[in-house]
Parts: sequence; C-alpha cells; structure tokens
Amino acid sequence: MLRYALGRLLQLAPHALLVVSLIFVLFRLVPGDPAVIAAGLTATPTQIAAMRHALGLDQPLWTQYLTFLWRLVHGDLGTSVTFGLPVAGVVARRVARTAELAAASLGLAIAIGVPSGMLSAVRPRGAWSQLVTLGVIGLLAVPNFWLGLLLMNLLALRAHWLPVAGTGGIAFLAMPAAAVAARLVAVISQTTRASLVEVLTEDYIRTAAAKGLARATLLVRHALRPALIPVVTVIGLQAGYLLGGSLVIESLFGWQGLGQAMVTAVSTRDYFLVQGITVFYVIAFLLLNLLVDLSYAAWDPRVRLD
Amino acid sequence: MRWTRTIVAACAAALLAVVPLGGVHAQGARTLLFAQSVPVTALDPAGASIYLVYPAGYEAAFLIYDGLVRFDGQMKIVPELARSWSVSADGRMWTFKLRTGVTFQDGTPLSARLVAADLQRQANPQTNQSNRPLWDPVSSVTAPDDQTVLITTKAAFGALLNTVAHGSALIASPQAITQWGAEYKLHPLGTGPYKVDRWDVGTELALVRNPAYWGPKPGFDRMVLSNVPDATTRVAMLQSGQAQVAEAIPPENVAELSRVPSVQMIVKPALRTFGMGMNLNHPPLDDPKVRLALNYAVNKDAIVRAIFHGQATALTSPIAPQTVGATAVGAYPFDPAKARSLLAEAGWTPGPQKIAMKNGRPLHLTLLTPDGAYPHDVEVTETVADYLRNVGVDATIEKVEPAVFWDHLLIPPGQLTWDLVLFGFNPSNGDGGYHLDSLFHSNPDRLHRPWVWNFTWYTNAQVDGWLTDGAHAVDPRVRAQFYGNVQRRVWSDAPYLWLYGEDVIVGASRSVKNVEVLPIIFTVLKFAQP
Repeated sequence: MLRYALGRLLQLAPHALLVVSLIFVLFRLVPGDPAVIAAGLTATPTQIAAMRHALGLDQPLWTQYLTFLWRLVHGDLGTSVTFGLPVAGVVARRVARTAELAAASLGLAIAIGVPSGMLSAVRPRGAWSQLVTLGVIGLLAVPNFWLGLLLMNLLALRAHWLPVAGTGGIAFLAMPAAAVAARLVAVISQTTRASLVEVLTEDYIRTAAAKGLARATLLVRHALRPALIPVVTVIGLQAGYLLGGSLVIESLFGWQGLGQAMVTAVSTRDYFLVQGITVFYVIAFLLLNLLVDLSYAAWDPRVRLD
Repeated sequence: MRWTRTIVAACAAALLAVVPLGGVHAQGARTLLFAQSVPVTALDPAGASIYLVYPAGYEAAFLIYDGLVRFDGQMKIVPELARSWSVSADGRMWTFKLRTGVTFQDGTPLSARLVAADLQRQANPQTNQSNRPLWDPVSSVTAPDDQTVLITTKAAFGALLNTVAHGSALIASPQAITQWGAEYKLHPLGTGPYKVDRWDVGTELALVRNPAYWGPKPGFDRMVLSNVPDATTRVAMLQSGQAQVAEAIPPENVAELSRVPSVQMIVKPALRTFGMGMNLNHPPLDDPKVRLALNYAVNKDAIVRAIFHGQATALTSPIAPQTVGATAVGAYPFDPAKARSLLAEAGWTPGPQKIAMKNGRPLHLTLLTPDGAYPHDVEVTETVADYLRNVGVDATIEKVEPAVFWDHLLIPPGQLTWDLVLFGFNPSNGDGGYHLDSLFHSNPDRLHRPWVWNFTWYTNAQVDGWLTDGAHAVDPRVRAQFYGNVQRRVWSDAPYLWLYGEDVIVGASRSVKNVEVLPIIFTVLKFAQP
C-alpha cells in the first residue's frame, strides 16, 4: 500500500510538470504587460524597463521558464504586485479558509447526498424517491451563485438567522458551504441511487435477506459499502468543481479565501499571484484525485493496491 | 418500511445540523464595519501599491494618518496638522505653521523636521512614483524652525493646497519608514485617530482607537474595513445591519435602500466625468464637423435616466461642476436632425441601409469599452452605439477586460485600434487644472505613449498656454479665468463625445453620524460618531 502510494506520488510529478509548464506558456500568451502594471499606470518608459528587468521579463523565454521551475521547487512563486508580498505567503494565508469551505461543502454534500440516494434506491418508485429525484433536478438546475443569493435573502435578510457575509465561524460558513454543496448533493445522491439499485439486485443480497439478516444491517453493511465506490470516484471528479466553484461563492459571501484573492488578482492583473494560485489549484486537484484512488482499497476489499 | 423511516430520520438529522445554533454575531456597540468594494493592500501614502487598488487604501490611510490640511465634505480645504498657512507674493513659497502637542502613534512628537522629511519623500520621484502630476511642481520641502514647514515650488503652483490635501500627502513617520524600509507599507505609523490592530492584508483591516489622538475623541473603539467585492452583498450587509457603512452602491439599489428605515443614503455628484474619447489621428474623426455631429446624436439625459436611474448628470463642461475652476460652457442637446445635417456638410450622405457614405465608403466607427471597469460601461456604450446608428454611423462595439483596457489607450498614436473609447477621469485632488491638464495638454512626442491621459492626442497650442498660465496663477479667480477658456475651447473642439458625471453613492446606518463622502469618491470615517 505504502509502496503503491509512493509510486503514484512519483507518477504525479510528470503530470504536475506538464500542467505547470502549460500554465507558464498560457500566462505568457495572455494579453497585457505585467511590467507596465507593476510599474504603475503613470510610469515612464524607463521605469517600465527597470521593472521588466527586475521581474526578469527581459530574459529569453527558456531562461524565464527554467528560473520559474527552479523557484517553484523552492516554493518561490514570485511577488504579488497587489499585496507587495511573496505569492507563497498570500496563498498560505488563505489556503486554510478555502480548505475549510471545501471540506464543509463536501461534508454537507455527503451527509445529505448519501442518505437521500439510499432512500431513493430502496423503493425506486416510491413517493420519497420521486421527491428526492425532483430535489436532485432542482439542485442541478440552479446555478450556485443564484442559490447563494436566495439563501442570503431568506436566511440573513428576512430571518436574520445568519450574518450576510464575512469570514468567521460556522454561522459565516453555513451559507457559502450550502451554496457550493448544492450541486454535489445532487450528483452524490444520484450516483448513490444508481449504484445501490444495482447492488440490491445481486444474488448475495438475496441470500443474505433469505438467511434473515436485519434489513438495516443488510442495507448499510452489505449493500452500501460496495455501492459507494462509484460515489467516491464521482467525488474525486468533482474536486475541480469544489475548488473552482468556490471562486464565485467566496466573492459573493466575502469569504476571504483563495478564490477571492484570485478575483482581486485578475482585476489588478497580478500576474504572479494568478499564476501561483493556479499552480496551487492544479496541485491540489491532482492530490485530491490521488487520495480518492487510494481510498478505494478502504471501501472494497477486492481492490488491492500493489 | 422501517428502513425508509430510518433514512428519513437520518436526513432530517443532517438537515438540522445545518441550521445554525445561535443568532447573528452581534457587533459591539462601538464597532463600525465598513464594507469596501476593493481590499486595502498597502498603507504607505507614497508608492504605487496604495494607488493600484483604489480607493480602499486611501480611505484606510485617512483614518491612520493626518495631513497638513484636509478636504471637508464640501471639498473645502481646512486646517489639520497645520494651524494656518500663507503663500509668498511670487506664489512659490508656501509656509505652514504646525499645530503643537501632536504625537505619532508610537509617542514620538511631531516636528516640522519630520513633516518636511516625509513630504520630501513624496516629492522625490525616486521614492514616490505615483501621483507625479501632483508632486512634480514641488522643488523642495524644508523646516526653517520647529513649528514651520516650507514648501517651495519650481514655478508658482496654484493647486499646491490641493496636493497637500491629497491622500498621497498624509504624514507618515520618517523613523518608521527608515526602520521598516520596503516593508513600511505593512506597518503604517501616523498621527491619526485610529491605528492598526490586526490586518489580514488584502481582506480585512481592524483598527483601534488611538487614545493619544490630538483631535476630538474618536467615535468608535474599533473600525473594521472589510473587502466585499460583490455589490449585492454590500447592499445586503447594509440592509441587515451587519455593516454600518458600505461604499460603491449601484444606482439601481438607491430607491430600494432608501425605503429601509435604518439606512441613510448619501448621494453626491462626483468629480469623475465620462465621455467617449475620439481618435483624432485619422479620418473620419479628425473632422470637427463629424465630432460635433456625434455629440448631437446622443441623448445624454435618457442615458442618465434609464441606465443610472437619475444618479448622474449630463455634462455641461469637460469637468464636473463641483471641480475647482469649473464653468458651465454649453450643451449639445439631443438633435438627430442636426447631427445628420452636420454629417452631410462634412460630405457624409445617406447611402444604402441609411448608412452615411463619403467617396463610396461607409461611416464605420469602432467603439471600445472595458467590461466592468466603470459602472454600466457596456450598457452605456451599447446605447451610444444605437444613437450613432440612428444618424447613419455603422457602429461596432469592442469589449475588453478591465485589466488590459489601459493597454489600448496608453500607446503611441499609430497603434490605436479604436475610433471612440469610453473613459472616466476622477481628479483626485479636486482641481480642474489637474483634470484638464491630464486629458488635454499636448503630448511631448508621437513616438511614445501619452504623457498622462491625452490618448485622443488632442493638441492646441492656445489651450497648452492657458493650462500653463492657469497652473502658475495662485489667485483662484485668475485660475478660473484661464481654465474657463480651456473648457470653452475644448468643449467646442469636441475631442470627446461628452456624456455624464456620475454620483458617488454610499449607504450608512442611521445610527452613524458624520460620515464624510468626498466627491473624489473617498468615504472618510475619521470623524464618524455612533
């Protein structure tokens, strides 16, 4: 298991290199000159040239690329023009908040998605199932920022249960987490349902039922566990959404994480910060997917990771 | 059946877990939360960082620092660290007498020597690259004695007080600047009523009362300046009472917020004026008749009513009426018939599909707009394009990201790709001379980018002369005369399709008094009281 994990981690390196190189190239294709913005709108051509030199943008492209990689492996992502701080520091300061939001959304999505999927699977044509399906369609159809506005209007402006926006404890986290979670609830619920319906037709389930196993035990221990493997896969695939979806929602709810820093960085054309956050997102996405792969063994004893 | 019940119970439990326990986190009675549209990223009054994210940094700086003089809510210049001031007969030497008993937030007494050292840093292009048009006229700042600061200018400079009242002239501690070096922007030290308590750079700045403040007792124990980029969220925070002050409220929310009993709306005509700058470098807009025609073709009042819900004013001068030196010089009433006849006089006669033609070529114009840099920028440009089509212009719109917008303007004239461009300028020192000089003074040469913002490449020797004379005059009446000439000439030469001046819109809780909203878009909470 450990050997497998290490091997996969090593395989991650060329992936990461490829994507990071792509980011490097893409950022050089984006219109706009970072030296101009860094020097200020009213800077003279001499000041701009000095800034271009200071940022290393007057070097040949391959030198810039090698410098970029060399600094990257040393954790140096450059300096943010907007904040006047190292990019790595800006990212580190905010990563915990984005992780908090992502974890809360995911937890919420699993807590609602899995049971509702089960409910729907045990009686696929029952009234509950119909209700769940309707809910799933609704959650899939609603864009998350709109749901966010709706929640804000209902829970903060009318009911006064929650603060409108800001960063803080669970009261601040609830609405943004729910808004990000909505789509995931739907996806998890649907996948659980489809997978569980299939497992419930297996012979061993019929055998277990025939030998008189309690229905709850049968459902949770014998059927749900194998049925969850596709759900775990889906969660891995949605990791990108979890990170990307937080961009809009963080801005809407004033949740001061990476997404909000990204929005500021784009508006002030903070080259290195946008690049740094993108690199971070990419690596987080790759790692999350690795974790998902590793967790298969925990769910299904037939999966051997050697 | 039993499973169903179990699962339903589990679902209900999961849902209950989401429902909050406890109500909204209550703000202390003496805490003020200010929701800003952009983050505070730097707090050194000099340097580019504070200038880049506008206006949040200056708004915070006005709480931490004092200046020699300051603008009040009506843009009148009133004493602050300076008790009084005088100017020499030749208009080059400005003497400021300092107030006594003022200390920096670390206890160091304020002295003329320290003030001079700091202002010298602002004036020096090596240590302060931003706001150069405000500081370039200054030649030196000295301290002849302990209570006197002397600012000498290269030539007589009538707008000096406006420079000294500007955010870049706030007095920072030279000792702290030496101590922190490049890091100073994160460790601000001034003489103002609030000082930094906790600062998560770029997100939230928490200030506490400075107990040693020399002026009236600050109204709040804490002030929290929070970055809330989404306008809808700022409106909601104000409505719910979570924020006591919120800036940059969209015009369409004013009516709704005015109905909220706990909220007061502060709406003031701003100094920022908008128009569509014209590319004067090649046909057809090098022809003054065509430029006049375009000015008559657009219904400015309808744009103000429909897009800004009345929270703007159609222009009667290139600069806003409240700017120092402004004069109403005219209007181009909406008159499409006159626009068509002016076009015909210029040789553009209606052709197929009613598009004006001259020598077999259609009157094609490209309208450039940023998408999101100015309030309702795209809607305004689309509306203008429609009005222009109505008089026979084949108008196309090009939208660009705000981040790259400047790259389309600040380039040599041969590289310009547009015919008209939506542009707004805010004279942040409140002075009409600065506004007119930035936009209409001839550029030094055509090989480089414009000197400041004259990207239409308007050039008129007489206007240049008046601008220089106005800058060198100290008597406000004499300055107003020169700048009046400039406004009249530029208005009739029409290098712009003149549009509107916007309103600055801030919402505040009724329980907060003395919220000063300056027409230069700053919200100053220095004297706010609960």
